[in-house]
Amino acid sequence: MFGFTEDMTEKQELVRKFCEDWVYPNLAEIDAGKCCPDYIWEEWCKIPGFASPCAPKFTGGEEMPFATCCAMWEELGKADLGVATGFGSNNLGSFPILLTGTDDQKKEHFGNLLQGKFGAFGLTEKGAGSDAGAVATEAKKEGEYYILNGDKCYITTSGKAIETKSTLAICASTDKSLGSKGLTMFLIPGDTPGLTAVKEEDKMGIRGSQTCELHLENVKLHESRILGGPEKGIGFGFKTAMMTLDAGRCVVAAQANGVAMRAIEMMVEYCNTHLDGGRPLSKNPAATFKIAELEAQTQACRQLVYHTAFMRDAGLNHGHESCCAKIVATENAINATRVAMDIMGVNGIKKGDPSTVDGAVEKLYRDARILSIYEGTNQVQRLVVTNGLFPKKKKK
Amino acid sequence: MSEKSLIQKAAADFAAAELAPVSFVPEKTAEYTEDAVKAMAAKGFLKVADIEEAAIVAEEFGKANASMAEVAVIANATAEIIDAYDASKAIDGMTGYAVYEEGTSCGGVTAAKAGDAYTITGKKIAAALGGAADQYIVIATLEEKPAAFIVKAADAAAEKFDKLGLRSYPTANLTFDAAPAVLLAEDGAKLRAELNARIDILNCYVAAGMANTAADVSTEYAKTRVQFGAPIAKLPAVQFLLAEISIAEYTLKAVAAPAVEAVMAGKSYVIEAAKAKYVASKAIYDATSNCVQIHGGTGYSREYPIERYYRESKTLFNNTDYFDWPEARIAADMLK
Ligand SMILES: Cc1cc2nc3c(=O)[nH]c(=O)nc-3n(C[C@H](O)[C@H](O)[C@H](O)COP(=O)(O)OP(=O)(O)OC[C@H]3O[C@@H](n4cnc5c(N)ncnc54)[C@H](O)[C@@H]3O)c2cc1C
Repeated sequence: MFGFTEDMTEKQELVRKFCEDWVYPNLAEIDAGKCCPDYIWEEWCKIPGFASPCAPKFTGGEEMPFATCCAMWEELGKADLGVATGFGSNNLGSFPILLTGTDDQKKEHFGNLLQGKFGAFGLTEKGAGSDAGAVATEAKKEGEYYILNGDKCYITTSGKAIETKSTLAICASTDKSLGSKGLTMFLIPGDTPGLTAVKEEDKMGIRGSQTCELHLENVKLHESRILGGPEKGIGFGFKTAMMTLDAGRCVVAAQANGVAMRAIEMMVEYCNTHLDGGRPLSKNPAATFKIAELEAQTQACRQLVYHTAFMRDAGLNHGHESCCAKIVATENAINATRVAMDIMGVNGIKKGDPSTVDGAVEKLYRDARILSIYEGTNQVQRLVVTNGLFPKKKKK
Repeated sequence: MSEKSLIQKAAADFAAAELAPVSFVPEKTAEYTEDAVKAMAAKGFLKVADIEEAAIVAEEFGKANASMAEVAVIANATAEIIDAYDASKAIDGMTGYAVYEEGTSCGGVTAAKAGDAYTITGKKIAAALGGAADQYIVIATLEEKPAAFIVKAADAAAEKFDKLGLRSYPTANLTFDAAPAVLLAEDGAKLRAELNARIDILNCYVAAGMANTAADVSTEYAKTRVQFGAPIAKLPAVQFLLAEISIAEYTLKAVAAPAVEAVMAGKSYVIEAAKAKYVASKAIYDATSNCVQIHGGTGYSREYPIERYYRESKTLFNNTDYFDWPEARIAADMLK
């Protein structure tokens, strides 16, 4: 891709090779479970820097540019959106720490991740989905400690983070009277008593990514566990969460582009091998024009993702672009799987081997549908874009 | 009560009592609910009087259990087409339909004539009611032209074809090895187009039933799901999604009605069906996709039926002809 740095190209190729060796051949197993098998994750972690691509250098990481992460996750998303989502949770679960964590917190968290443990970002609750400010998990101050009680839902790889005794970024309310301004982000060790993963979700797709409900019962944390420390971190949780999502949404868009690219690849292969009235379907513009249109949209979506990623790497505000990228890329990917179904007919709906054209599209269709829901639904993205276009007038 | 209302009530009551309870778990596990099909047959829902009745049944069943609705669609459409072509060929039980082939739309399965009898050899994929029907309508090449035959189920080896959605509705790959066959129509292309058209018309009603359910569950959810201090139903963005589902239900019936009328009046209906299919496959996709979206994370969970509607919507119209059939047919008709 034009404009890719050497690093982006090199890392994307490494991911491609990894996927060819470990993801594509095992897609049936991945799709049959509720979490990516450990051996695949272990292989991923053997590649230098991959366990936690954004880990700062002083923690022992490679501190890869964000654009490189997007290039990697596009390739991973192409192979399997579930694996991409699960492995990506190490980025999502790390952005809050990168944004507001103290150096000690960074050392602790990235130390865990670089050993091959999982991170997790715990914001959503049953009553706080799109309305993230409504987080009800309470953190009550008792001397130098906080006692956390509440429940979280849909937290990616949180069960793994607990199982591997890693560190989780969890949002809780330290002052209910302040609403979203009373939210605070905590860095919680996975083995803290009272923190449990109570349920593993059974999802339509992205089955390579673990999604859990968490229960927090009298989870006792020293105030030093507040991200950024008690001085700076109190009441900064919502802001941290929103800034985390600025980055996360762009990665979701990159993964979505991978999904669209895979759908296009499968359609091309199908059209080359499938006969339609005695001729390959690739000679029928009714099919090929549909694919060409998707290719055009996907190329445009990729440009927007990398444009956004370069903005972030340059230290520019990119929340608006991230939302725009998420809207167009995710809806394009979902549409690509729909069109693939149309073109492939019964061969599209077939539950075959997902690593081949014989079963890939059935799985892609189920996987892709998550894209306009998580990390803020696409209605919420439109809300953010709207707020950018129609800014509230500041009171004088 | 009019006759139509009576049939509708009977179908709705039956669906609520017998089909809704077996709609969730069996679909998840791809289990064929044979008892439900037997009950449908016993009540006469698998061989109704005409396409108008079949449409009523399809819609009511579609509300409760799309897999079983599709069983009724195929059974009724095949029974009607046999009646229309050669009533003497009709036998008891359900008739399935085998048209698709590996690597091509159709053409590789061949028929051979031996005296007055025929045999069929080759493999069909994703045959409708595969493994469950008593006999199949099979499209096979006879002297380089497609013809339609009837083959007894016992003369075909069936291997289950599992799929994205409608997983309780049975489909199978069928292998014929010089299977004895009875000729139903020499012009297999015409029969195929007409049978597909009838299936597509009825599928519009299954889809209308599905859209009705999607509208009900989405409305209920939107009224009760609170975010930002109020039910999400108060949000214009959610209201738009809801309205589109209701419009889809309306559209599905509106586009199919002229095709039903054409069949009932004994007029040609293939183009009407093609137009209906073109609009319907998009409409039901949008309706079920909106339903997922309104439910947020809940819509993606296999604990609830919402994700099932999304899978079913794309399976429904992928059951019949190749993808550009509606457009190609309609344009050919305009240009003739
Ligand atoms: C597989 C999966 C993985 C996830 N991973 C994580 C994770 O790691 N960490 C985490 O914290 N969360 C995670 N989530 C949660 C996810 O971000 C939420 O599901 C999402 O934000 C939507 O919330 P909700 O499901 O409660 O839907 P709701 O907020 O209830 O939304 C329902 C509907 O209302 C609409 N709506 C709501 N508010 C508005 C508004 N103001 N304007 C317009 N429309 C609106 C929505 O668009 C949607 O259509 C995950 C979810 C899933 C399904």
